[in-house]
Amino acid sequence: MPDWKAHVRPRLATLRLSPSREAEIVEELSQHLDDRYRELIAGGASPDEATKLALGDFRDGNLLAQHMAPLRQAHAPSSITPGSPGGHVFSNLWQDLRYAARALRKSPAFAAVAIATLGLGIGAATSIFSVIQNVLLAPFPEKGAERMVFPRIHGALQPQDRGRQMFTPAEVLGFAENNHVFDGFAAANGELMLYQHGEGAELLFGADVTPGTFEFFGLPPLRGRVMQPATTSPAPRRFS
Amino acid sequence: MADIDTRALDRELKRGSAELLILSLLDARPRHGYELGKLIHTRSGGQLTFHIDSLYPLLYRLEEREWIKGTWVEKPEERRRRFYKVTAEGRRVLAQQKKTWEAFVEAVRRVTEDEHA
Repeated sequence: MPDWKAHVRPRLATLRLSPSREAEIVEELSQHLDDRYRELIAGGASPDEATKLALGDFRDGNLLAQHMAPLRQAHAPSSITPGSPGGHVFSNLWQDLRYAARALRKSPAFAAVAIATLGLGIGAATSIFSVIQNVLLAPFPEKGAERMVFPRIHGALQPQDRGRQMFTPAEVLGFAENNHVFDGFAAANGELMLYQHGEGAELLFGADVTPGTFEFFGLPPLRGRVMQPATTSPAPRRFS
Repeated sequence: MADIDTRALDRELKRGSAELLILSLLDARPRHGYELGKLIHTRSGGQLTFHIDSLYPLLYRLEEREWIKGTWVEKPEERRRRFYKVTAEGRRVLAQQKKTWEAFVEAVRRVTEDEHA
């Protein structure tokens, strides 16, 4: 029996059939040729004559491919090979998404684990980034926080981490008068205060601050207005 | 007599009513491709021959239109074969095509009769 498939397959080579569809067509047409061959043999033809006559049903010019070319099945999308180089990123996006959806649907347990892992990973990464952002990259909300320093004063023979970061009013005024390095300065004296309102008194953490403190930090007041030059004394009495 | 849909008639003539032949034969019972080709050849007295390279593309085209449906059938001691049967949509199309064809034949008959009268 002739190998009909070897005669049929090349005639389909110019079409973009899916592999499974091509195999079906090759099988179907091979059976047709086989039926014709058997009929010719039964009619008294020799095997060579029968083969030649059966294949003669294919006319010149590969009409099979010409007639099949307009069909949708002759334009199957290229098969997806994971890892193979594709075309443009976005041109294959839809195909990639469909492939991913099919793969996940086939393995629901794997899909659940993958989604949970992704969720945990994204959550952990977000948390870590938030910590890094707030602690290392931009720890303070104030404008120009990276240019602010909190000076420490220590004795010449003391290590740098010793001494103190609290200053007397005279020292603060001395810094302010002799500053040639910084754009500005602000000092505060924090203390607990009793704030009285209509419903009673409330203990709050307050501070006496130097003029221009709000401008120094670039923060607007939540209520009321910032200190005006007219309201501040050139020589803050509380610090004297 | 029903009015002839001229566009449908033109379409049918161009196709040689190949679709009508296939749908008619499959309307009786499911058949495979080789049987269809043989039936058309023998019933037309050898006047009509569907070659393998036009018969199967036609079947696949009708299948894509969902007028027929092919199914692989396996029987004991036999190789599997692909049998085609007409769908509900195929039957509707077949009825329409028969109507168009009959109207055309009737019109030709009347014209030729008048010529000989």
